[in-house]
Amino acid sequence: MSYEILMAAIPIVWDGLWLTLVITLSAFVLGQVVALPLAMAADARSRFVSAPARAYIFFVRGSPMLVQLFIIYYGLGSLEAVRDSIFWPILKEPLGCAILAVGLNSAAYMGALLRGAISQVPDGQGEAARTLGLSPWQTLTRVTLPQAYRYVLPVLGNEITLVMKASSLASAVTVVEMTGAARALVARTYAPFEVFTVAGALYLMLALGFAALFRAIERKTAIPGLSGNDA
Amino acid sequence: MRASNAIKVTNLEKSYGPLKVIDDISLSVAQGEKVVLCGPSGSGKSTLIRCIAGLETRSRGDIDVAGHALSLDCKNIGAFSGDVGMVFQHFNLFPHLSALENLMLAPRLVRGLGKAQARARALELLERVHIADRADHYPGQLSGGQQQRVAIARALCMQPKVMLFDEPTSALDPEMVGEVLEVMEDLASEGMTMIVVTHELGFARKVADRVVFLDGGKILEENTPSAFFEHPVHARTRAFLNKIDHA
Repeated sequence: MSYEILMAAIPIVWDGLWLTLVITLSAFVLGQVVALPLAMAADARSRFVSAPARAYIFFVRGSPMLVQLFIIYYGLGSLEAVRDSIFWPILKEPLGCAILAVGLNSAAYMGALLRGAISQVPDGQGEAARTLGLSPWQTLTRVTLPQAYRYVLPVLGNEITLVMKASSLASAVTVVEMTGAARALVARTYAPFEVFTVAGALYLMLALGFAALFRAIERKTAIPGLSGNDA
Repeated sequence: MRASNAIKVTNLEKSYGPLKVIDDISLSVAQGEKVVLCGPSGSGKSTLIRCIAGLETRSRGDIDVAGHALSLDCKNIGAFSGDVGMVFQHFNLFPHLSALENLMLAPRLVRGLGKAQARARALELLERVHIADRADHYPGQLSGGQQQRVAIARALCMQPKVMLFDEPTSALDPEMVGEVLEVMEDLASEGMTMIVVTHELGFARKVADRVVFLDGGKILEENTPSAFFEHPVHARTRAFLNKIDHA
């Protein structure tokens, strides 16, 4: 192992950090935005709403993300209807496809999780809200979700780390994020051990950052007097 | 003419398949009247009060509460907008909000009160249930009796025309029952229309204008408290009262 190569690799792999962050944060936000309606749809009374949502969760969680990424990037691009559609500007870009694949994947996992969290909020909460005159929307946003999101918060920190790790798949469709940058450097230096170790360490650093961030949010939103989150 | 009915239930029926949990009940409660519902478990008293609150759909029958005709599917419960206050056995306070915020939420969202106004009203009501010193505590930091008093104040914040209590003291430790009943007695003496499902016969004697005894989804007997307790007509009522008194 060469110490010089290790040090030289840091700034080069670091250059990919920005794109890794872009993919991670965009995909995480996309996942969150899609997860909530997905969770609600999966529990909808109408089968026409719940069946597609449950099918989506099942298929996405049951197949490899890399395959999904290839379907989106290579598969969709081969269809003329897609090339003519308004989504083409996003779908022709490998970065857009990577964000889409990772984000929609995260949405399926988060949707299943949120669904469980929402069902954990006792029925009495909604009943109290209704008798006080709150509309269904107000009950959802002011009573149910604030409690459900507190249940899933510990898992959210974990989820963003999973999304970060999944973002490395983008390198398979030519995006030069950290893993992509590392691979390019390995091709030039033939020093995979040093270069990938640097990449791994940088990912680890990011993960620690996310963990600290979510721990802080958890502390900040802890409900006083409830067991398990007393400081 | 007699004061108009605050609550009027006509030929109410609710069944789960072949099982009739409410079997043709009619009940009118006048403005300012206090009615205690009692009966053995499974007699339908909780279901009845939950139907009146709009929390439970029914098979047939009419329900008019506080000037609102409740539809069969209860979809128009939004029109109640807090006119019908409900107090639950398990309090159902919002655990992520402080006592004060629990009280302020609905007046602000539903009645459109400003923050200062909602706060003033909330503090006044917390004062009335003797818990103003705990305004910034969260439900998890309060005892059961304190939580139930906050829950009563939360319902009162919407200035309800009618208050419904579904076994408000059943989940409490014995030493906390008194403080909740005291608040309910105060409320009764101020002229609130109330239906109370309870086994607290002392409260019924003291506060109720009328005691209604349910059994098997029907009203078996109703009378003034003194007549009800001294001269119960039905054998089932006598058996029930004996059991409760010796409990």
